[in-house]
Parts: sequence; structure tokens; C-alpha cells
Amino acid sequence: MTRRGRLGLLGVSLVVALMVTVQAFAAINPTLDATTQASGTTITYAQGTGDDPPAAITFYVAKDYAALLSQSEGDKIGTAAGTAIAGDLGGATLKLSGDITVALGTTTISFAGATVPISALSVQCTGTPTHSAFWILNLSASGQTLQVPAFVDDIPLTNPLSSTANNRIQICLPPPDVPAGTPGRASLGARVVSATLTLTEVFSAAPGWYLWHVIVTPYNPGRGTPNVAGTISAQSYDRTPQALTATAKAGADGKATVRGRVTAGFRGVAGATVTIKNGDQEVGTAKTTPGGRFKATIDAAAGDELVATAVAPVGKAKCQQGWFPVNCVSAQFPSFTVTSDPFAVS
Amino acid sequence: MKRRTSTAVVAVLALVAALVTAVSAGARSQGDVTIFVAAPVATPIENYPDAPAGAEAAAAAINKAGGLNGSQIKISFCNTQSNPNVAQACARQAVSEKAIAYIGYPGTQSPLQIPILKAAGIPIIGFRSSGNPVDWTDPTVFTPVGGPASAYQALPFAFKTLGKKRLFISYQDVPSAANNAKNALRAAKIAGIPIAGTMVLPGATTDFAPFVQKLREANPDAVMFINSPGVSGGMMRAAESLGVKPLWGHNSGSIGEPEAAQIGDPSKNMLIASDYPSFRDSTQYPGIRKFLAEMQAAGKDGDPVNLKVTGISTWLTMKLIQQLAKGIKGEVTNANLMAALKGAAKPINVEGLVNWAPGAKGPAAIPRWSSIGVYFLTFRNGQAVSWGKELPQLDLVKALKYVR
Repeated sequence: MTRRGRLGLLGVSLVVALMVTVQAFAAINPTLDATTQASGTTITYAQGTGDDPPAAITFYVAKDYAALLSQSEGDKIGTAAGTAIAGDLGGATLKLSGDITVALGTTTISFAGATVPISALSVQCTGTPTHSAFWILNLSASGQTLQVPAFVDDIPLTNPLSSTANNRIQICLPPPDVPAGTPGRASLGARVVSATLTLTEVFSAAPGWYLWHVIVTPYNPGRGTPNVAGTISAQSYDRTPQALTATAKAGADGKATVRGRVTAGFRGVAGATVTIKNGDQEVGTAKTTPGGRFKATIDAAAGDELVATAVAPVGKAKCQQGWFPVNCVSAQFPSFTVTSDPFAVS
Repeated sequence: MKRRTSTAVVAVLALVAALVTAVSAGARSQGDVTIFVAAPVATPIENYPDAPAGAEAAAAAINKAGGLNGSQIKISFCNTQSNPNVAQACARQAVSEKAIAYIGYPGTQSPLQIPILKAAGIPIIGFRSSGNPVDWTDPTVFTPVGGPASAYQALPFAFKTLGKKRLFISYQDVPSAANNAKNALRAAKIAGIPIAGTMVLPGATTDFAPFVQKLREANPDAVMFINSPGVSGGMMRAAESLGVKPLWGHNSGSIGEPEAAQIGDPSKNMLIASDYPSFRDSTQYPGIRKFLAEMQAAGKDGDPVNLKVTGISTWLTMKLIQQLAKGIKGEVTNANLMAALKGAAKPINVEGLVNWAPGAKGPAAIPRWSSIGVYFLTFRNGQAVSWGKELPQLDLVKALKYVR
């Protein structure tokens, strides 16, 4: 079977897979992190370096997000970064990065060694040439650019899926581990193990908690055929906005007490590491309590201006059963970094 | 001698006439600037004669006061006829006439008009959206109002302010209505008003009984329609006759005084979201008072249809252009007007009715909506009037609280 035929089959098979509940053997353990901050929406997909290569990755943007999908061809809407392991380079790790741009169905790109219109790739990946938007992830490494198309849809209110998601972003990847010279094989035999999309011109979200999903179908190792029965999902809680508030009060002994709170989506975040700086100098650290509060005693005088930065760890969460009839293997609260406004010691 | 004299007189007169003609023609060609108004008028589905009326009244007042940086404004109007081909022809006409701005109500055909104007560098100003995303995306669009698209998102905030606790959303069986309903649901969540239910109310509905039953089961205290005036009114009448009497909500583009009169009693005290105040509220809003005075001076106030919201919109847009022109040196062109709009990062107060920075950027999903004003009206004694102090003008973009 040709690669095109295999991918076409993938599109159909994915639909079938979603229609039945399959307790499949998962040779892939993905995680999803998604969140929106003032700087943009960041979606990070990751899997183990020894996992089966991904054939199709579909992100489901959280319900109640607002999305703009009507930009013009060529508009830059964000950036992409990723990591791939190049089988042809002895398993070397490739760091990929570049812009995400808007395309039309008629736009042609270089994909798996051929120049093809995106609409043709869309049919192979999703079964249809039409979508609300087409994006190109222009990923460069070592002077080479890998163009990966993404097929983006609005999920209308009339679709029951709209109770779960606002948009769908579908990406299909070529197989990396078929013999060299096989048509449609991934360049350099590169197997994607992580990808981060930072979208600055697409999504808006009001403060709150949201749930994102990703559904992944791996390839059967070494065969270049999708392991539809192995389709699984992962989830990410998106808590926005993230905030760090702090105050400082001078004591009698040249010390000051800093108190504050780290929140995400208006709820306290436990276990965050808070670093306090006086100018360029680090003057104290603290860990947040289950309620997100912290307290630190530092060397500082009244009038000194401080800044605190918190790094919140990844938090484990429970998978929510929902619309998707596939096994959910992970759910988590994303890690984030947040910095306070400057505050003076009173 | 006599014949020679008369010949000379004729020659002199002809020369004078020629010079006068040449001078006036020269003044027109060097001094006039064209502002292009496009809107559908007297079509089976749309009628916005107020669009040219408001613009012409403002142009008359501005011209009387010396014009736009010394140039007289010429209003060129094109009836889009609710026809895609004609709408495109209107945009092309604006380009051929070297219009400095395109205003009015491009309506559902905006995706066909905007690219033509964009390619020619003509700014599209003050434009009431009918719901096409390009209306709040394209960098050549500058608007302080969102038309029905923003009205539907503003209504949940108003219902919440009024203490309503169970909102029901009815929408028509077309994609744009479903999209507006989705946006309204999102706004309701942000506003904090619980959703009692949603339903698709088809445009061809004649038997409202099953829909009223659904409404009765949901037991809402507020219902908003994203439906045509006909089915909205039919539903309201059927529901009230069966004792279902929530607070009804709609947008001013769909339900004005004539539609309210047709609906009858159920329209009394209903909630209407509007881009601008009613022309009835001249006491409350000095800007509306000035609008009415200039419409009267231009002889445009005879027909109440000219005083509707699109008339206020085009009139106000002309006033915005007048304010921006003060910061432009020399003759106003489409290019320097576009630059002035993009550079206007601080809010401009236009006749007390909008306070808006045309050059500011909005949230990622609605980049051309930096600030969108929505007023709330109701019908009392058959007249559209301000709801009152309980519901002041809402800045929708601020209310949505988008993080990005």
C-alpha cells in the first residue's frame, strides 16, 4: 500500500476508532500541557523517547475559548518548537524551531520529500480537503526546514463535541522508521518526541479553568502503518491567569518578612518555588503551601524594591471521562513561571 | 460699429463664462474628497436608507463649517442590494472614485468588499458587523461598534446585571446564528449567568407550540433570540399567550419600533442591545441631540427610518473622520487617513457617544475590537428608549476580560 493510501486509511480508521471503546495496548505515553497567558497560548505535546512514533496528533482546544481562524495567507500567528530523534543521524536529537504561518488549501509545501498542495495532505490526514484554517509549522534545524501542516476547525454548536471543545487542530506525521528510500518516509528518519506551539494571534480566554485534550495514534513500529487500536488521549488543565502577589514588611533587625501567594485561575498553587530578588541579588526563596501561600525572611531595609518569581511544578491530575471513547493515559496541571510586580518593603 | 461692439461683448462674456467654469471645475477637482457609503436599501431582506442619510447630514454640517481641512466632502452612495456581485461592484466603485474612506453597512457581503478596499488602501470605518470574522480581523477595518455580533455577547451581561438567573438562548438554523449562539454562551459563562437551555428555532417555524413547551420546561427568567424578527415575534406571542413570560432580549438591528409594533404587547419592556442610543434619547445624550439637529438641518429627519442606528453610525463616523483630519496636514487622502487611524492609540471621544482608540489592538481572537460599546434599550409606549441607569453603556471587550 502506498503512503498516501495508508494515511487515507488512517483518516477513516481514526473515525472508526473513535466510535468504539478500545482498551488498546498503548506503546506511547504522551502528556499535554496547555495554557493561555497574556503573551499567548502555549500547547506542549511530549512523549517518551522510546515510545512508538506518532502518526496523528489531534489537539482539542478547550470549550469556551474564543478563536480567530480568518487570518490571511502568510500571516504569522505564532511560533513552533520541537524535538525529534533522527534515526539517520545515529539517533541524534534535533532541536527544531520556527514560525507558524497561515496557509490556504492551495498553498504547496514540501512534505516527506514531495511538493504537494496542503488540501491534498488534508485529505490524506483528515479525509476532507476543507477546514476552517490551514497552518504551516515551519520547523528548522541544521539548515533544513521541515514544513508540517496543521488542519484547524471550529466545532459548531450543532456538533455534540462542542460541549467539550471549541476547536480541533489535526497534525499527521510521516513514518520515520520504515526503510530508507520508502516513499513518504520522514526526512532524516526523524521521530517527533515533543512539540510546542505558541500561538499569539489566535486564541483568547477569560480567567478560569479549562480542559484540553489530545488524541494520539502511534505508528506500528517499523511498518509505517497507524496503530489505530493504540489510539489514546491525554489531558491538560489550563488555569488562567497565573499570578504572584507579594508584600514585604521591615523588621527591627535589618530583616524583612515577605508574604505572598501564587495562584492559577484564582486558586492557590502548591509546591511552587519562589525566588525573591532585591535588584539583581537573590535574597530569599520559599515554597508555597497547599493554599499557594508563602513566607520568607530576607535581608532588606524599608524602601527596598523587591521582585518575586515563582516556578510552579507540573501537577498530576485525574483524567476526566468525557466525549472521547479512547483511553486517557495522563492528565496534568502545566508548569508555569510567573513574576510579581515590583513591591517595596514597608 | 454696433455689430462689432456686440460681438466683442459676446466674446468677453464667453471668456468670463469659460474662466468661471474652469475655476469652479478646478476647485472641484483639487478640493473635493469623496467618502463612500455602501449599504443595502429596499431589498427584500435589508433596508438601511439611514446609512447615506446620516453621512449626508454630517457632510453638510462639516462642509458648512469649512470642510475637511478645507476640502468639501462629497458623499458617494452605492446600494449593495444585498447582492454579492453588486456589493463587489460598490467596493470597486469606491476605488475608482478614489474614496478616502468606506463607511456604512457592508452587511453579509463584507468578505467580498473588504479585500478590494484593502488592496486599494481605503480604510473601512465605523462599520456595524453582521457577524463575518473578517469584520474584526482585517487591519483595514476600524470600528467602535460590533453590530449584532457584539449585541448578542452583551445581552448576557445585561441580564446578569438585572438579576436574572436562568438564561435561555434561541438561535436560527443557519451557521452564523449558531456561531453567535456559541459566542453568547461563552459570554454568559464569563458574565456568570447560568444557562437554562438552548434551542434551534428554524426560520420557517409556523407552529411554535413545541418550542414553547421546551421553553416552559427550561423555566428561564431571561430569553435571548438570535433569530429573525418574524420567528422571534411569533415565539414571544405564542409563549406569552401560554403564560411563559421571561424577560425577552434581542438586538436593535432586528427589533426596532416597527417590529416591536408588529410583535405587540410582548415587546413592551423587552431588552434590546444596540450599538448606539435611540434617537428618542436626545435629552440624555447631547450627541444624539446634535445628530437630530443636523439631520433636521439637512432635511433628512422627515422619515423616522433615517434616524435609526445605522444613520447614527454613519453620522458619527463622519465626525470621527473630521476629528482625525485635524491631525493631518493638508488634503485628507485614504493613505494619510489610514495612517491617522493606525496611529490613534489613545481614545478619541466622538460626540460623547464613543470613546475609542482606532489604532489600538484588541484581544487575539478579536484583534480589531479594542473597545466595543453597547447600549441597552427597551420599548415604552411603542418607542425605543434607553433602558435607564441600571444598564449603562457596556464596553464589551472589557467585560469579556480576555487574558490574551
